[in-house]
Amino acid sequence: MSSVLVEPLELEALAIPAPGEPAASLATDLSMVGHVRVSLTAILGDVELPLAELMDLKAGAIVALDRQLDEPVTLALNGKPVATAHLVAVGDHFGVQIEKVL
Amino acid sequence: MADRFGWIGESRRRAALAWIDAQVHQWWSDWSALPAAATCSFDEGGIEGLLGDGSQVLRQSGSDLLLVAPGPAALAGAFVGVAADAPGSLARYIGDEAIEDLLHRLALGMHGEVSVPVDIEQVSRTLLEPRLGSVAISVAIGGLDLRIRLARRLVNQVQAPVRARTVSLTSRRAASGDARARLRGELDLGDIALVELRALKPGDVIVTHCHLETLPTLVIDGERGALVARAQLGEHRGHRALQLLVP
Repeated sequence: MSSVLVEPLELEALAIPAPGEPAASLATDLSMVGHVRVSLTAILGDVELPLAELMDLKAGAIVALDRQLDEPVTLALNGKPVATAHLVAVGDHFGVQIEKVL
Repeated sequence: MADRFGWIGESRRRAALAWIDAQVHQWWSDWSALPAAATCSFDEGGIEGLLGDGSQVLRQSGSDLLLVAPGPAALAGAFVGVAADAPGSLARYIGDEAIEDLLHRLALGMHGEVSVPVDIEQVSRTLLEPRLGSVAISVAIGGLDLRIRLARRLVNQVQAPVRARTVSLTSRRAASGDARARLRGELDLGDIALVELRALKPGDVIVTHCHLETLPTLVIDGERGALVARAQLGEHRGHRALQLLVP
């Protein structure tokens, strides 16, 4: 039976670049992260209510939002607004037609 | 020792006063058909103030509580409304029972002893002289002047009644009712690959995996966006609107 030498792995301490020190930028190609999935949300509108009114909301209550029916919605990626768009139906699914990229 | 350390703090004195005030109001409303405003105040008078014209009735509960009330005729007049000079009359009986009941309430309410009629000579020195460790309270109600003396042992057991608080608390909900919360209607369109957003320009259509029957939500605007309700998307007076379904 052959013997194998097992030794602890020793790592060198990494030097942190000083702030402001010029460094080469890494390539930032979206295709590198293209498969990453992000959460897409359509913000339909906002409304401001007194707390008393909010607490009294019941099923069936209608809450009118601050946007007209034909105004675009705001698209948010992971909660951050990125575009405005119109909600459309594509078959059985929602689609969004981009109006403006923010 | 008790004579040397007879001081009773102001908060305890006021608690005792408020408690007596509440008890007297309840007692009067139970015995008299006529409403009357009671005035309770501290009475720092000495023995002379207690004796008055000599026609009073003195009742004591143990050595901790003393009640000085007007004579039987005055009590009868206050509760029955007739001058009752004759001993044994119904009016006198009612007046006597009423004042006995007051002392009973005060004594039992403070875990004292059942009261007995006493002469001034039998009253404890502590009750006669408040500086030795008692609280003296004067009550005026329905034409009656009552004097009450509480020894420190009883005062220590008094809890200020709720009605004695001068400021009534408002519920947090009522107090915050005028504050305004910003809500947001949103529709979760699901996940989308970043590659689909590449070179995004106006007019492009992104097809989502979100079915048309997916319900929007109404959330509290903010970092965490607490869910208020799921809702049906619709129109209300020209505006986009949500009809709430379930919380």
